[in-house]
Amino acid sequence: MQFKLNALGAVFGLALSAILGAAPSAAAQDFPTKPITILVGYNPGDNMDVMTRHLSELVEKKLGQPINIVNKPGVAGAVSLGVLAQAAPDGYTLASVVDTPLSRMLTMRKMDYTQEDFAPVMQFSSGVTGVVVKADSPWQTFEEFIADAKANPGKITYATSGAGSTMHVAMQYVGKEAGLDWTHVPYPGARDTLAAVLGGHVNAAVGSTQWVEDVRAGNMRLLAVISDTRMPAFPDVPTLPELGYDFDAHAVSVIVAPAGTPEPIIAKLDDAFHGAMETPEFGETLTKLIAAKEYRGHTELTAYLKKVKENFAGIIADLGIPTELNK
Amino acid sequence: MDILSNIALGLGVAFRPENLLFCTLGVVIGTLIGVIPGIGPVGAMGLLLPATMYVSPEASIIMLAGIYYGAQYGGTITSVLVRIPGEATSIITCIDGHELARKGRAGAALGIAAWGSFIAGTVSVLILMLVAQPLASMALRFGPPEYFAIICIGLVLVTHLSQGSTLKALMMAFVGFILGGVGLDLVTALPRFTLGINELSDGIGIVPVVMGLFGVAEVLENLEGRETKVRPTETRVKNLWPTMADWARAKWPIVRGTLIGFFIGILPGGGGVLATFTSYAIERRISKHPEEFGKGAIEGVAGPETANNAAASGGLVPLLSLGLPTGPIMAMLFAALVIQGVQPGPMFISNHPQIFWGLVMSMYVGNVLLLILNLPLIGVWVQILKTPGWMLYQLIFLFCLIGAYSVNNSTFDVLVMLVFGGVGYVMRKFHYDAGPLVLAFVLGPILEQNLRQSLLISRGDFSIFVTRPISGAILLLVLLILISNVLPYLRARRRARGQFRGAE
Repeated sequence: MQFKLNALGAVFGLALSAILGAAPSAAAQDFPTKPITILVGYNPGDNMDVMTRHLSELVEKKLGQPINIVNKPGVAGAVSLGVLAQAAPDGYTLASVVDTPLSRMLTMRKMDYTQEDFAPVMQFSSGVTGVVVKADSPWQTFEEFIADAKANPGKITYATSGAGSTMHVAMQYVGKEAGLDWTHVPYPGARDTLAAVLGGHVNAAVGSTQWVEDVRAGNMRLLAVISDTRMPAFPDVPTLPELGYDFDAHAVSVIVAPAGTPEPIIAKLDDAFHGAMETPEFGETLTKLIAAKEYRGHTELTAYLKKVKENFAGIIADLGIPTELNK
Repeated sequence: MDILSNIALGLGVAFRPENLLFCTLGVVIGTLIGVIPGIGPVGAMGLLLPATMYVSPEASIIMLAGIYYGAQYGGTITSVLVRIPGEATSIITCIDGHELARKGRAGAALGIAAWGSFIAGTVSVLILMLVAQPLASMALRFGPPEYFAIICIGLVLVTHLSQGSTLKALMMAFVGFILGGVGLDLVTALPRFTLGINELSDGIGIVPVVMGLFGVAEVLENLEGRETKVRPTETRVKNLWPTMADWARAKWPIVRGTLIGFFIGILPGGGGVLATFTSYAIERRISKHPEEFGKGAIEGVAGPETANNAAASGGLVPLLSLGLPTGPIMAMLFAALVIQGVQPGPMFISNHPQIFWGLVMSMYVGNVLLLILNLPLIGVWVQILKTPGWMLYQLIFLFCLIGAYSVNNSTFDVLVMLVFGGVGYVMRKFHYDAGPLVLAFVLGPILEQNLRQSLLISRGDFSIFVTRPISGAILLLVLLILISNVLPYLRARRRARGQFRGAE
């Protein structure tokens, strides 16, 4: 009896090790054999949701398996990452988020996860933020705006869609470099900041590209973009680095898997998503949403996110911004 | 003449067969999700959003808007029949609507709500046509101090909302404030009252709280088995239609509800919920028989139900003329247009007249459809009351669970709902009214936000609230309301003292 059990155990153990040993390559070759779920960290209808849904429609055709989209909104995408961190690392559960909760937020907040809990798959887009003022305001350029803020300490206000946001940190950085005393007024959403500018309640708004239509209609003026490259739609508007502020932090849209997902599966997913984002159909969606097409593969993206987090931690420390981690 | 040609253009678009079909589809879906508690228009619109990429921009926005105002009709039904708000905008209707149902007058309540909604829908579409552009630029002049002042009005009115003990109402309002403060601090982005739970850093969701306090608590109370208390005393519904007397009492609340709803709907952060609460409070305040409120006053149904439909149109003003969504539903319509490559904004009406006028006229058509759809169905809906209680309440509980989960696909929200269900049950047992709690919960964070924004802008100078004309005028009004509240009390005291002296 004893012997039998041991033998059974040995056989079982052998079989298990055979499965474990052989599984990754076999699984990667066949992957995917069942539907894939993508957790979207935002509400239905958000830009990220629209992009992910379109992208996965294209990926479905490539991989031959349906993709389910599940919205898990909350804490700028962090809720969906919290769920993903607990998911099986088999490539069947992924998340689509902006990199903020994967990089910059980790330097300011206590989170349920670390960067090491994830295996970034690829990046498919990058967002641009900009500084806008009302069209009938006296400031024609960013330099004039800064000079005025310098000459009138305590008089200039700017709005962002939240304290601690990248835009807010960027403006604090500019404020410190230029030695300004200006006031940050936080609003709950990007559109609210634009209403505040149009209504003359604040002097400037800093945020993502929802101002495009107002700038085109001549209601607002775009003074600077917070990015390392100029926007194709507004080629005359300088970037912050061009203006002498060495601040380059912008949000990128990424697909991530849980850490421990086999490399061949990640490579296959990276490939499929890369192919999908390069299609003209997806390019059209990006143009409509005024988002830029920008690709980073698995290895490059992993290194990039690490660098962003380290850089941002340095900026936060330099500016002495109070956070949950240093208070 | 320009407006006539625009109307003709709009009617042409609205009566195109495919647009008529999508309009019908939208209002039917809207009514259904309105009836089911917790499943709100945001969720349904989100699910349908990807599908709208394949139809024309006109058809897409006509259908999505139909879901939105259709849900305002449907939400009433659940509120009146089972005292669970089908939609957040029907919370207040639970009070008098359900009391009417218990008196066997569910048909009258539903009828007046349907007609009120129809009138509001029609009139507010007219206002929308005439004043969309001038109004939007006025709304822009409302900055943080002006919002602060407006919300003060809302909070002063809270005292008129509560039934019974004012002290208990105030206590509940403070609890609401604290619950509303959960989440990230707006100015420092540091977490408050989150107990280290990451899900709480976005704050507590309104849907799970309301469904817990109203829905689950109702179910729990019914588990006590006192059928008679919960079931309407009269299941045989005698008159399905509002009587002439009902109409006489409801006509002015409907007029006022339309105006209140439309104008509050325009304000960012205002929206339907605030509009219904305000309408109810005002009707109760100016009513000749305020004692009937809470015991089945038809005005308490007519006013708010009218206001929520008018608010639905009002919200379109900033969206379509400025590209400013005032809430999650408007954000959804915004997204629907954007994915079609149509950017809502200042140039929207002149660049895309066929979409704007098509939508406006389709809303008129949709309101007629809803009336045709809803009036004959009132008899059918009322049959729900004849469902055995044990079955009905299990179903309601099931829908509450689904509803709470479906907002964010979050089990945490389900947990929140269950906790508030327990809290709500205890509150009912000890006669604490959930109304002030919910109002403070909704308004508290907006009040705080605008107060702090105002003080940031003024660098800590409180005079910003009185030196700006609009906020100064509104705050003066708040003061007058407060004085008018206190005066009768003082007079009564003086009289009492006079009598006391006389007795000496």
